[in-house]
Amino acid sequence: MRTHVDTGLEWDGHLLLLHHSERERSSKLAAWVRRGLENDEKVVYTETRGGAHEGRLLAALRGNGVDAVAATAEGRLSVIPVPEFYPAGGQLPVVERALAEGYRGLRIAAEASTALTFLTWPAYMAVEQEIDEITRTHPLSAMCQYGQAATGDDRLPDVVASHLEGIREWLLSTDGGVDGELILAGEIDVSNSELLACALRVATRRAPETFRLDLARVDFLSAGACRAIAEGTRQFRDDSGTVLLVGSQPPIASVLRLSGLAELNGMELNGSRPWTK
Amino acid sequence: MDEVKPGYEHDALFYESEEELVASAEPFLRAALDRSEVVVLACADRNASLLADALQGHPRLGILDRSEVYRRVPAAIAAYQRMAESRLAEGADRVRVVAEIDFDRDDWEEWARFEALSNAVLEPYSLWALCLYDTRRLRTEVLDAAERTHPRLITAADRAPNPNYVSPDRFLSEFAAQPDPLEATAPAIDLTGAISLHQLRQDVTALLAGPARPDMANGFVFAVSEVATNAMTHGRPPVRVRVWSADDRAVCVVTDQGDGFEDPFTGYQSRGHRNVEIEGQGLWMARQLCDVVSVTQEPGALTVRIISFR
Repeated sequence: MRTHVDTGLEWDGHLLLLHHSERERSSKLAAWVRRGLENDEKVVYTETRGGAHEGRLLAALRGNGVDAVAATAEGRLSVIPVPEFYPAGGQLPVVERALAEGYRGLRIAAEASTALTFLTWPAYMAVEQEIDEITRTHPLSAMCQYGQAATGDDRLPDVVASHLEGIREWLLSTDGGVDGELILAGEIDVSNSELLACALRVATRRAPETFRLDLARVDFLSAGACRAIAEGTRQFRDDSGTVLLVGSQPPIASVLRLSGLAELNGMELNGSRPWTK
Repeated sequence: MDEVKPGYEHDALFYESEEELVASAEPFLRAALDRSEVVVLACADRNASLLADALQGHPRLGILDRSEVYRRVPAAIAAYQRMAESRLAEGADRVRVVAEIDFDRDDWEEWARFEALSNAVLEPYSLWALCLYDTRRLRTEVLDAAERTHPRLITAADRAPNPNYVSPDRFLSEFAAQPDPLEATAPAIDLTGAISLHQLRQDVTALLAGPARPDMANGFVFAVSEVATNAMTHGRPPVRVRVWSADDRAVCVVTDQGDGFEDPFTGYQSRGHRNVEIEGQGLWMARQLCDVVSVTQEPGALTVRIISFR
């Protein structure tokens, strides 16, 4: 069974959960719901009512020690229909209304395939952009769930662009993503190297002349991952940008050196301490 | 004076006394120094001293530590290539290397393969390698392999074509890696079909925890992951990965039902720093991190064997 690798990064903010299976999705969503309830946050998510997914999620919630029935009765946990989750007036009024009830924060969660039964892709991407902005100004955490198989190469850049600060794939997590820095955590191999290349392409577009790639929490880096770093930063480096590979542990530094990555134009293997929040 | 012919020359010198070694090698080296060539000695310390004395410390004579040059096969190939490029850039017509690999090592078969494939991968370089083989102490298998991997033989009397020489790809296919004795035992890890690379790495890491050196364990895990990735992405299923661990070594055998690599020298050559941007460098990196990475190709059956000694 594929379980999520704990990369040590927080499960708050605007998160992208790229899941490979319904079991994986339910498990991570349940842990995320529990964290919100323990933090005295209101949790709102949308599901297709009565479907197999809802049953699996409720079971996962029970497995995570969440009394979904009690939380729902107390109003702390709400499962709402898709149209209510995406009101015409946008997400901000929904967020402000929930916070006005006195909660410390709000958590919202939705699965892309469910949302896309109601919204077009461009409309959904607009919602994602709005949520991204609200999470920067309000105590809002959002977990946007996308099936790995359904998120083809053509849609991946859009999805990654609105979640750079919090990609949660089963092996790889990211943090940062603004101001010329991206933190990677976990393992990068053939299963997620394209995701990494995509994240780097998006992140370096927003970077000034220097881009810091923090590798301190990376436990495995394949040869293909080195290639993904080269490809994902190529345009930035071709435009005279410099990429600093920062904080890698000795085995990772060894792979970086061996791969020749650090010898590419515009790439520097830097031993300084990683950036921390 | 004859013009230097570009390309790689690769000779063997079988000797059974120091006198025979010097008598055979000295003319070869003097001929180099009489023209605008550079001589590099990468041989056993004693032999390097003997030859350096015979050449009276000529200014175009250099000595390299063979334990550095012959650490891992891809690095040795890269060292030869760099040596040729840098000396030629400095104005030399050609570099002559007196090479003496230490075959008293667990991974000697890798170096027999190196002798064969150097004929192909170093072909564009203006290098002339003279490889020394001490017939008094080297094993028969080593000498037999040397006889098949050097196009020419040098003796005190002359330099002549070697009738036993075979092409590099033929040698590599015939000099197939034999199963490690550990493979006769039950593997600690035996996976077939839909293999999770993450789980495989975790299992191998756990298997090697404790007695293995950290760099050995990290290199082995990397190599296993890369070779399994190649099999799963380029090979034909089913892919099977087996791993054994003993006090002195770890062994991994990855098999698939594909026909293998079109290029029999895949994973041996560096393409310089642009290597990272080219697909297929995982095998090259694995070979730098493990003692043995051998490929056995037969129609419908590819076997890659990885061995790291503790």
